[in-house]
Amino acid sequence: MPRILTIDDSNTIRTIISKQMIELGFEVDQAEDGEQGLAKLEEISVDLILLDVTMPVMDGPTMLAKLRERGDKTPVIMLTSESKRSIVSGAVKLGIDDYILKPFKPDELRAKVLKTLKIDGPGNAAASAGPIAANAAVAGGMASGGGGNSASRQFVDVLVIDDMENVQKRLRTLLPAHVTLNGCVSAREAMQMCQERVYRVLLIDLVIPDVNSVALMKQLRVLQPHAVMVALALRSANDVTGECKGQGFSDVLFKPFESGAVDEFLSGHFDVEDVLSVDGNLLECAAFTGKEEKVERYFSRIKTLCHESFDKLASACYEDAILDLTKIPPHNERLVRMLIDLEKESKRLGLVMRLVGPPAIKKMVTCVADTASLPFFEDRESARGAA
Amino acid sequence: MSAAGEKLAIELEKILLKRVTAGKLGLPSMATAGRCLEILRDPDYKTSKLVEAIETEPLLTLRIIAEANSAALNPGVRISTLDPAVARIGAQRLKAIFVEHAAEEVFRSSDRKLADANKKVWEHSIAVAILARDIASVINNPEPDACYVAGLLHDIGKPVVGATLLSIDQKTRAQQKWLDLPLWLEVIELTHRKVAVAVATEWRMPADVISAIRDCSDYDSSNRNSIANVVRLANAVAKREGYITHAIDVDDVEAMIMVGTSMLGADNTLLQKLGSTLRQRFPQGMQ
Repeated sequence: MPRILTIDDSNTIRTIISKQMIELGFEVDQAEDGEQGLAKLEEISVDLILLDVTMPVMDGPTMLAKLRERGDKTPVIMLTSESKRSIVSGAVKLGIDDYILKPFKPDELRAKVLKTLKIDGPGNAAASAGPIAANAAVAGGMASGGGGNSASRQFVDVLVIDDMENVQKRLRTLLPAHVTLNGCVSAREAMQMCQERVYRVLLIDLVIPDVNSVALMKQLRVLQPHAVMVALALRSANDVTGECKGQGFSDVLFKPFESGAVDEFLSGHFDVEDVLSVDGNLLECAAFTGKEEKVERYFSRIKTLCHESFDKLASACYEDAILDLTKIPPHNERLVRMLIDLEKESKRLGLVMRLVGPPAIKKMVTCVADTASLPFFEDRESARGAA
Repeated sequence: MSAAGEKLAIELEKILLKRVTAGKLGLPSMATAGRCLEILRDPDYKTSKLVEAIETEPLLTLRIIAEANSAALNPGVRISTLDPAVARIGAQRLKAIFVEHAAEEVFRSSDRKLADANKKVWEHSIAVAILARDIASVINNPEPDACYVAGLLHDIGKPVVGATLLSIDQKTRAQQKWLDLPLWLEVIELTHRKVAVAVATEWRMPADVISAIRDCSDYDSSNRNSIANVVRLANAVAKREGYITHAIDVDDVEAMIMVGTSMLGADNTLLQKLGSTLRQRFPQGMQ
């Protein structure tokens, strides 16, 4: 158990310090001035001295000088209301390990004592995390807080820094559940959260009151050297993307958010399990697992990915594309609309689109005039055989 | 301190303070920046009046328009004239721009020796300004721009004294009396604070900014999170990171950082990280 000696002429201060150190599980000894402190140190050996400056009989600096003269290198934290540079500088020369200005916060005392004693226990983590960490976890709603050193820093996908709290809430509804998100409304919170966690993407609003967003981005880059910095901006006629990239942002996400843009953002920065898998000229739609209100996005994403795949197939001299609809949800109107678009696109590229799916999907497709003529097969083998 | 240095410093201080208060320092941008800041001091200032003052200096005009079109201000429509630019930027940020522009001018010199010396001081000032804004973010000081400005100005007396010394040097050189470098540095160290205070007062900087310039050696524990204390800590961190203009006492700097971090509630590890990347965050062209 570490043993601490507090040397201060104020009984109140000694009592406060002793209480806090005992709470940390340390043994505490007390002395009223430098002379008593030196005498005590002849009797006992301690791990840390908390030393006041101004005291009767023998002040802190004199005691420290005598201690060092006799070769005692016990770590010392100066705990004082004295902030004069000349005095503290003299103490630094005599080898103090840290300094605490009175009046002090219990967190600061705990953190500095633990740091000097090189103890990285839960108490230290609690002391350094502070109230913001707890608030942020609540605000983010998805990723819980955690302080401590870099080894134990928690990984979170996205941090949204925007003074309007609604922005993070809105984005949360548009992101898949597996993408973790924190949010904060001020530069200070952002700095603290970036110290405590590791983020993949930082979304920084360009207009936060009293904050220069570009300067903030540069500050945060120091703490998150591997994170992607994306600006949050309002749409405008100007080349905001170009402007932002010129200032050091990697990209821009425009507000209010559009689902297509958020999808692009996701596919650009995350390994999102996609809704379409491609194997040669076989394109298979994945099942829809999201909330009902997101089904439109699902179809829109399949359409976009099919366009990209058709392009690649045509470039690779394929003559047909097989689209497997076995797992697609039976949303009649959306499905038909999508297939009409895909047929046009495949024709434009000189590809024949063949469909594969269960009878229920076949019924939906064949009962609409615009899609009735599309070649439909019960399984992939039949579709391949027809080529 | 040498007797010669002290004597020269006293004389020089008198001359400079008189020139500053009489507006006869002869520095190019002081007039424009001062006039603009004066206009902004009126809470009901007229944009047209401000625009008129800015227009007298083409470089400042370009700077303001560029700032209005920057990503940080999220432009809706590209701006090419001063009126909407001034409205978009807002008084707070305009103040910082005026001061930065004027200060940069002060640090320029056509004399190579002086320009080299000023470059170091200017780099140190930029480092302090950036760190002051960093610290403001860390401790939630509501005026990060004012902290930045105070950081920029805290050593502005040095180039002013330097320019005056140069003219003395040139005159004495004709009489074969050389002003040697140690004496030069000694005089600057002795006089620059008072001169900087006079310049900042003339530019009517807030009291807290002037306080930061007046005394960088000790913190004010009666107002822990003040701009002045932010600049004092930033000054010490910049020195620790090697942005120095003269030899420093490492223990002294460490003491200032220890006291400052405790007084302001800032995390020293975080400041170390921010300090280590200062150069990358310098304005373009200075990195």
